[in-house]
This record gives sequence, structure tokens and C-alpha cells, in this order.
Amino acid sequence: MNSKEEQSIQIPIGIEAHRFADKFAAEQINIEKSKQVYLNTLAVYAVHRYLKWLGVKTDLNKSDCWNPILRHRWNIADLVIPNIGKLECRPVLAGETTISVPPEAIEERIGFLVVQLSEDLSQAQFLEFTKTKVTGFLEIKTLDSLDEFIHVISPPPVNLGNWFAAIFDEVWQPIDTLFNPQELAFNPRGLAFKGFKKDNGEEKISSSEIIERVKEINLGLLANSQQLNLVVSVRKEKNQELGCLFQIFPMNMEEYLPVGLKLKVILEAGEGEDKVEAEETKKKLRIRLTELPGKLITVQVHIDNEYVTEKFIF
Amino acid sequence: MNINDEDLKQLLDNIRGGLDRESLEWRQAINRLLIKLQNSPELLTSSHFLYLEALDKTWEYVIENIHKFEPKPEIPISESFMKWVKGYLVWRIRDLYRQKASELSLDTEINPDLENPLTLLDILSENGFNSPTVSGLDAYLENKRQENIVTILQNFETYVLEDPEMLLRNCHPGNRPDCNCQLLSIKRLFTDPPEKFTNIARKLGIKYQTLKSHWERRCLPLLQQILKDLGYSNNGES
Repeated sequence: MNSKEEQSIQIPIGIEAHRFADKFAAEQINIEKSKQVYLNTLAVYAVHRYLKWLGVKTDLNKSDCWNPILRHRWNIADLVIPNIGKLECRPVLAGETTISVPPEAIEERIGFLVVQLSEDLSQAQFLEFTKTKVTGFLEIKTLDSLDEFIHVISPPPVNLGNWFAAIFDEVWQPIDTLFNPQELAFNPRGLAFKGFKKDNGEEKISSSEIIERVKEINLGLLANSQQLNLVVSVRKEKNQELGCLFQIFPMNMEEYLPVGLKLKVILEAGEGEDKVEAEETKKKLRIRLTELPGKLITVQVHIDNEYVTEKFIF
Repeated sequence: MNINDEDLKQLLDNIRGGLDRESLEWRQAINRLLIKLQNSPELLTSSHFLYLEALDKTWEYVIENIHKFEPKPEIPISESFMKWVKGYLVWRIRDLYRQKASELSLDTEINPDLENPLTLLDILSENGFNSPTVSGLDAYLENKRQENIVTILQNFETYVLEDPEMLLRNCHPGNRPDCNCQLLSIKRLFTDPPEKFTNIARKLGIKYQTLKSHWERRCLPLLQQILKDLGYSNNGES
């Protein structure tokens, strides 16, 4: 049962993949370059399809190899996975034991996936995943690292319990980075204070109980992409519950949010959903809730058909 | 190897048991399921590119709709599941045949009793609907080259180097004319290997994030606009 043959996923390379590869290869100056672009495109498209099966969003249009100028100059096979990073999908042909990785295929990559293409260019198969960045020749060694790849594309939810122990991932920054010193002096208790107070009017809250962090999120396509701040404020409540406040602000706190922007919070297994939407003059969107320990909280920010997801657990 | 009924039931229970679809566990289980299905001798196989397209869409459908699968109580679950998968695959093949046959002006009527839908694909192959193999790739690509686009890309490079309308040199973050789009294009595109953003940022004394965001949000769209103005069409790239 555990033969290597049976452990690897086969990705069919259909007519769509060849259509892109045809178009991109036809734009190149000589056969050698055309062939490189053809194989790079098939490898990237195969990984894109596999991720689509798994429900992982990718952004071909933000990938350098989908840009006619960049693929013309560079030997690249990158695939942008929003919120995760840029993956390099290097093609190899059956029988090849090394791949060559040029310097332009290293920059800002979260890892390299070695994609073997069959002789009739009908199937792709993942041979190896590595996070090690090396230029030059990379020897293809293992067949068992696909599990690591699935790990990389499936980051665990943000553990809010850690926040109370002052452990934060570096993407979650203190909120004072959002304010200039004047504003901070005016609003020393941070962003959440008012939000929490509203629902617990009589209760005395000391600001030290509230932990607040901000993460920059990117939403939408290249030309009109939106940079936003997601601020998460948490505090422990009675009965071991967790009080949470999720807020979206524009990058520049003086500006308005884009019209139609939606903030959505989904609770575990269909237990509930809350949604707010920005109209013309909103400067922020917010949703407050309390949740029991161990339950997954999914926060989504939507605009048009695009959205980003952040997951939390306490 | 035929799919073991008990294994499949366990795997499906696991997948359909309320795991978060974005969790590692769910994705690992899906991966195991796909490997089982792909190795099943009951799956139709062909190396025709329309079959492969249909198979790709089938895996997408099966995973997305896995909660909708209803096992038939009178037959083993593996049989019932394979029937469901194959049913969708055959539907997809027929659908693709109809589309392509109408592009090639062939008869699109399909005999409903047709036992093996793969014979439809043979009809398309006979009519020149094929893709290349590795060994035939050179000749295949030689015939496809679009000289007009190659010329546009060459004109584009000359344009960037000469910047006749100052579009590139005038595109820079606020008070940093030295960090302009022409200079970045030369360092990134016309230097082999391309100079790294970290190096450029250090040399220019500008924040890495500012540089990166300038390149991605302003330079790349500007370069693509210039390419388009020179006659390049992005048709069908997304």
C-alpha cells in the first residue's frame, strides 16, 4: 500500500493549461526560451489546479510568471497564494535528477515545489517540497515531503490564548503603530475600550485586561487592491468566555473605507454569523462577540468577489 | 487496487464530519482520498487533453460537493462512490465534446447509449485536436511563435531604456525621484541576475516596503500599460 507510486497525487494537465502555455511560449524570442516558458506555465497551472481542488485560493494574475514582461526576462514559475506567500513551482521532466534555480526564482519565495511533467505532458506529479533557498542546482531527493507542503498552505488558526501570555506572531503588531503620538495621548486605552464599554456600561474595565493587535491585510486585484488594518481586541470575560472585538480600518486612519466592503464573522459549525457593510462614509467596521474556549472563529473581509480570511481560536 | 470499503467509509466520515475545510487535517484527508480514487482501476483513463480537462474538473467537483454524496444502501460504499465520481466525469467529457465539436463544426449529437465516452475524444483527435509531447515540443513551438508579439516586447524594452515621454522617470515615491520606475526596471529587468530589492533599498537608502510597494502598485501597472499601448493584448490571460 505504501509504494511511492501510490502516495503521489497525479494532476491531469488539460486543455486549459496548454492554452496558457501555448500563448505564453509563443511570445518568446527563441525555442529554448519558449520551451522554458511552456514547461514553467504547465507546472504553475498544475499546482494552481491542485490547490483549487483543496479550496486554497491562488492569484495567477499577481504571479510574476503571468506577467508578459517579467516572464519574458526571467526564468520563473511562481504562484501567489494570498495570505500565505509566493510558491516557486519548478518543472522537471521524467529522468531528471536536478533542477536549476536561477536567482530571480528565489526572492521572497515561501518554498519550492518540484513538479514532474510526464513525457506526453499530460500529467504532473509533485516530487519534492523544500523551504531551503538555494540558487544553482538543486538535487531532487525525497518523495515524502508533500505533507510539509500541505502544512505550509494550511497555517493553524491564530491562538488567542497565546496573546494572554504575550506571545504574538510578528504579523500581529501593537496598535500604537496605527496612531501618531498625539492621538495615542488622546486615546490611551486603545481602540477597543469604547467598543467593550458600550455593552458593559456599568462594569469597570481596566484597560490592562484588553489585548489589542493589528494586522495589515491586502484585498483585491493588483490595480485596485486595498490595504486595510484588521484590529483584534480580546479580553477574558466571565465563565471563561472570551470577549472579542474585530475592527477594520483603512490604512490611513483619516480616510474612508471602500464602499461595499464587508466584515463578516462566522462561528464554528454554523452556530452563527454576523455581518456589517461599509456605506459611503464609514471609517471603520466592527463586530463584537463572546465565544467559548476551543471554538473556531472565522473572520472574513469581503469586497466585490474577493475576500481574505483570518481564523482564530482561544 | 480496488478501494477497500471500510477504509473509504472511515475516510469519508472523517472528511464529512465537520472538520474545518481550511484545516491541515481536512486537506490531508482529501489528499488521501484523491490518491485512492486515482489508483482505482475503475476510473476511466485516457491521455486525451479533453479527458484530462474533464478529470481535473471532476476532482474539483467531487471535493467541493463531497457532502452531497449519498451512498446507496444496497451496494458497497466504494461502488456507490465510484459510480458518483464516474457519473460526473462522463457528463464532463460529453459536455467538453459538445463544445469542441461545435468549434470544429463536427456533429455534436451524442448517441445516448454510447458505452465508452472516450470514443468521442477519438473523433476529436482525428480532426486535429492535439497537444505536444516533450520530444515534439521544439517543432510544435516553432510553428506557434508570434513574431508580432516578439517585436512588441523588443520595442517595449527600447521604450523603457529611452523613456521618450518621461513616464517612467516621473513615476517615483513622493520626494524620491532617484527611486524611479526606469531605474528600477533597469535594475530588475535588464540586469542579469536581477538586483534584489533588499540591495536596491540599501543602496538608495529607502525603506524596503516603500520600494516594494512602489514597484508592485505603480511600476508594474505602468509597464503593463506601456506594453498594451505598444499593441500587446492580454486576451484570455485570466
